[in-house]
Amino acid sequence: MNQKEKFFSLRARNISRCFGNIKANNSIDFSIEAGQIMALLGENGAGKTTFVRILSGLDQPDSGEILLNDQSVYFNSCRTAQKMGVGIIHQHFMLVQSMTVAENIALCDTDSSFIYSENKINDKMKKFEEEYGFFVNPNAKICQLSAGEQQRVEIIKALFRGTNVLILDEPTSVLTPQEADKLFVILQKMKNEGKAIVFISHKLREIMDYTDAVTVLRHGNLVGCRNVNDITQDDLISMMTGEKKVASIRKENVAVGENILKVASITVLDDRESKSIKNMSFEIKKNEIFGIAGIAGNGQRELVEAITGMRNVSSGKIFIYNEEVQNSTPKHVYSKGVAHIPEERIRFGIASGLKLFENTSIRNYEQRPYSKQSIMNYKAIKLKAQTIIEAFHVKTESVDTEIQNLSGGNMQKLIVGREMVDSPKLIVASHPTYGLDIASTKYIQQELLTKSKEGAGVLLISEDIDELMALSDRIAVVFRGELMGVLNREDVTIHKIGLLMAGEELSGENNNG
Amino acid sequence: MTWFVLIFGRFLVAGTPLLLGTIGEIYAEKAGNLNLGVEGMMAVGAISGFAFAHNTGNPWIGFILAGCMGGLLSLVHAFVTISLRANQVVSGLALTMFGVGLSGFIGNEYVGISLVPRFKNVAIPFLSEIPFVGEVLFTRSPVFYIAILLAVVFWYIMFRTKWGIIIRACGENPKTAESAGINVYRVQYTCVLIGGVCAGLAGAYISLYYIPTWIDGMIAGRGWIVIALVILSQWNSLKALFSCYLFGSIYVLQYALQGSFLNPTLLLMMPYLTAVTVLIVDSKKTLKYKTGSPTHLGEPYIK
Repeated sequence: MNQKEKFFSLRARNISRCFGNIKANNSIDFSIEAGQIMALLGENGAGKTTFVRILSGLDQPDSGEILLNDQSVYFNSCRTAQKMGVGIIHQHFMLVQSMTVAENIALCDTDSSFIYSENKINDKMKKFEEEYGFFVNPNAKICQLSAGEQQRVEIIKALFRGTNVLILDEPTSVLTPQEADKLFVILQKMKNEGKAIVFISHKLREIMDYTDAVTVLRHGNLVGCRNVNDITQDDLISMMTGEKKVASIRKENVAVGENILKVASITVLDDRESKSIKNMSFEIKKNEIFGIAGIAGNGQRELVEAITGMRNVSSGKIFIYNEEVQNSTPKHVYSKGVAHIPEERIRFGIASGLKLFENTSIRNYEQRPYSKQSIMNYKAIKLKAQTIIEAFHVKTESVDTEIQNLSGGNMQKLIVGREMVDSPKLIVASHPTYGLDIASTKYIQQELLTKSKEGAGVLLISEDIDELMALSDRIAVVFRGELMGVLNREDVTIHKIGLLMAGEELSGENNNG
Repeated sequence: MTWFVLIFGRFLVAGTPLLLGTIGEIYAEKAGNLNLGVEGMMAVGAISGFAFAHNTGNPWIGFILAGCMGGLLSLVHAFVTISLRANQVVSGLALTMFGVGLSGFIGNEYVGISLVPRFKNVAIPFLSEIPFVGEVLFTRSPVFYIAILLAVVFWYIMFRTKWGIIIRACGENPKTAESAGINVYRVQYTCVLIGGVCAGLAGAYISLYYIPTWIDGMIAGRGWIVIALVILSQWNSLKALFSCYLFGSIYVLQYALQGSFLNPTLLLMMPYLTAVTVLIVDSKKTLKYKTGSPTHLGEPYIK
């Protein structure tokens, strides 16, 4: 099909793709028509990403074919797919951060002239922006834009290339609820223009509200394609997990006890020496789960690092049980009974080249019985590792397995086990369920609830608002290093959190932060 | 007044090889490849320029072939670091050691020969008649004009054309460049090659005009200064015009101030000391602002 021909459908037939012994995609059929929004749903490892990579030419199937307007096509690279009007927006945006919006567009626009002309690009951009009702400043550098704005740049890029089928990989994971709504308005307009939209999502609410149809994958197999009007959220969950129903988790109301953590007007600098936490104060009490919501990059990482002793504060104090711990070391903080489930488990949670039992001893290798005058006692260490994998249901061959061979869910369970096995007093959990399947997610959430019931205080940082609402006693929203407000669980609504996440003040009496 | 013209003239002569090397290395680094072999490529450029000019009797042939030799050497680095994805620092250091050694080896039979076919100063009509300025700026060797012209053209291409956007994208975020349909490896090869040719030309300028004879080790660390100058110029060849001639003047002052109250050994340290100071100040600055340093510099790109 050349670009001038009118697009009406994209189909995939019997697509299979193997990686080693793993069948990532097993004869999947897929079909989308012009003017349709289709969601692609499935747990982690269900093969969604593999499938959209094949659909957009980034990967090639072992067998099966792709049909564009009922004609067989072969995408040997994403460039071929782009030429035929199939484009993808990755979860991590393909933008050059230090360049301006217009330069990024010129980079991708095959029609742009050799001598870079900002005006020409601006004119063309304006045309699209008027058509779809949004605006991006062409002279702004990408790094100055919010995630939502960056996404709009990606959409403009796709429009410049004349994309007919737009594939989005988890487009709303980096957006506030309000920004997500705006995105769907744009997608709706594109749909009305006769374009086809495919997007991957975990969020059932979005799928029910904004799509026409949903294709569900499980373990690399096609479960089915349904019209959203014919199904309920519960149907989707059971299609996705293969189970009938998953019990929803919710924290019970408990009386909270004494102060465990007190953060008193701390200011923390980030790696670029600008203030990423500004004069922040809060307290966490015994039995309490304190949630922090916010879009990534608003100071969450620096806050966690300051509390766990990995980063110095430039002013203010941090108390654990009335003892000052700011500007000490992680070792000192851990010795006060603090457990830390770090974000990006592979980067910060484990040493991926080491074996499982070595990883479980990272916290306490210096203590007896695990070592004696610097001589390791591997028997005791392995015994401990064995207790952890049994107690926390980590699926592994043995404690001698290299940890990088564990799946994401098991890795995270192991980290959670290592941190929680000695009944910590304070648990700092950063995105503890990020990227995990539903079963592991529920397990880890349940573990957090159990520990808080037993008396631990929990600082829970997450981008998943549903998770925060289910687990937290209080939710604070962080925006540009400041707490925009602290909401008690009975006052929390998604709408309020969304407003605070975007940096807006709540006008009303419910804001008691 | 003539004394003044002489000193200023020497500033420009000393700065020109630095400028040639710097604008070339800016291209390699902007595309994401750190080539620490500049010293080696300049050394090979110097000896091949000298040898070809001496044997053919034409400085232009020496000059052009020196560029080719520098380019050839840089392709070795490109192959090792881009295609084989070896560590760029290790490869660059090896290139320097190899180039300096090779130049000494070839140059053995040329030691002590004074070069006859040299570049002559060219006076640009009308402009050279301006008092003082004309004599300093417009009565120079042709390579000086070429270097200035190249610096401006290189700047224009880098910041005003689509090629520039493509090169910068490869150094900032090669994955993005790839997804825009650009062959990242080809861009990086080309830019490393440009860097090598420029370094070869810079070396030839030294042996054909600056010090028209062959002495082993005559590059004397200028290749390393070039690496520092790239940073000082913030990867911008127009800024390189300023910083390279500033450093050229430091080289000249080092000689001019000999016999004064300052110990000549101290003066010999000056370019290096300045380079280190610049690096410290600049590293402090990069924390806060983006100075033009390519994000993906020094890391091999794996598709």
